[in-house]
Amino acid sequence: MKPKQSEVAGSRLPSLGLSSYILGIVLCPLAYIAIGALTGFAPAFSFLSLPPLLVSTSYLLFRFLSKPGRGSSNKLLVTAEIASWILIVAFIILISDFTLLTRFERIGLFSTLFLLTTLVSLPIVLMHQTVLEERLRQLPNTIATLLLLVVLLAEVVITIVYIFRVPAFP
Amino acid sequence: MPSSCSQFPLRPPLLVAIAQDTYLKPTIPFSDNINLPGIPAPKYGQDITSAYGRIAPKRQDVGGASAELKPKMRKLLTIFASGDKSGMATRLFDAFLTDNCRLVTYFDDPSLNAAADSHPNINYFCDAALSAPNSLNRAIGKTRIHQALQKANLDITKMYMLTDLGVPAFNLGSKTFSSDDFNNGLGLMINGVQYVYVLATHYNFDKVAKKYCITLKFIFYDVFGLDDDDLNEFGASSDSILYSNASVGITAWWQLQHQHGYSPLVTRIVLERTYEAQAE
Repeated sequence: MKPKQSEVAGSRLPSLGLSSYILGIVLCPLAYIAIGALTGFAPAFSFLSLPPLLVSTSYLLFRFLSKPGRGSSNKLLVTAEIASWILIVAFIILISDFTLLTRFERIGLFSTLFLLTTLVSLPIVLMHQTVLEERLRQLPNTIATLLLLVVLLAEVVITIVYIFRVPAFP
Repeated sequence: MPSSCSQFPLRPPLLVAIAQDTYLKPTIPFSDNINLPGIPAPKYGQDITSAYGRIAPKRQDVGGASAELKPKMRKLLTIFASGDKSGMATRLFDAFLTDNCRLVTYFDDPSLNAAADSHPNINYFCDAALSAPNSLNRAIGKTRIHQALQKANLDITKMYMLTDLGVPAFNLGSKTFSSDDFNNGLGLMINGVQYVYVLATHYNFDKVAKKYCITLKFIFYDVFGLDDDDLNEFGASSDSILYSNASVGITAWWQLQHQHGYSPLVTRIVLERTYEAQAE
């Protein structure tokens, strides 16, 4: 029996959501750059970090946004993917300390930017079937749904607390 | 000041409230003989100390000589005080960096007083400290000066001193985007105030009209200095390009203070406000 459209969309939801999270993290460094975080560092930091970051981001976007069935698991490509992730995560850790933020402010700002880039990624994964989604559909539905909800809840709660925190008064 | 209040000075002025930063570990007294004669001095923590050659808690180090460290500390002005048109933040930095043999002193600045006088958080604090029915901002459900006066039957000499006020902060705007207080210098110079002493300098209760007037002198104190916690939370480990200019500036500041003997200053803001309120 042909499944109904709503059933198809429902079964895709967890993998779609997780795809947008992963693309959100890949795009997160660009969000920091957009808010001017690089100006908090010496110019040499930009000269040294931007080329590998752009290569890594482009590579991961190319890998993840390819059409299903085109995601080769060649060892070299996988190693390059791991290296790209390491570069992107390291860049986020470094750039998130671009000014005098407390630990909570640092996490809050990251969460806010991550939420934004996740939202930006959502239409991309909704409109195209991608290798990334194909990969994530391998996850058991329960685990994918649980992950989706936990990350969403954490993102939203941290962002709200970060944005709307009230200073103490008498 | 309304003439009705100026005719009724309190001699000596009465200390009616103290707000104290709860994060403080107060151990070192630093007196203010001008504004608080005969009143126990506010006590401060490690941030008011300075030293020569102390080793940083995690061996943070962004330079050796003070000549190398000073421009790194001054970068904080570019980041957080580029909108300071009065130059008050630069004057504070100049005062800190001028001489490494001086003692801890107060930093008073007319522009700083003016900036505080028009600051929304300070206005909120001053209004809420009184919390009269006609105050623009009130601490609902708490005993503040108005309520304490009522409990003392409007006899200010019998009023007990309030000690549970929260301290205000110059923290409007965003550190991320260097806006408002993180652009006008106030966030860099002070940010969270450590103490506010509230003195009643004039007072009169008009029994017929059932209203009183009170002049309150608010004295705000904060230390322009760093402690080890500041260094560990915000400072850079080295001046490698991996660290932000701001975090390198913090470590340079700590090193100047704790390794090169540059004494902190105590920033002091003095404001006077006169209020009239119905006694009931």
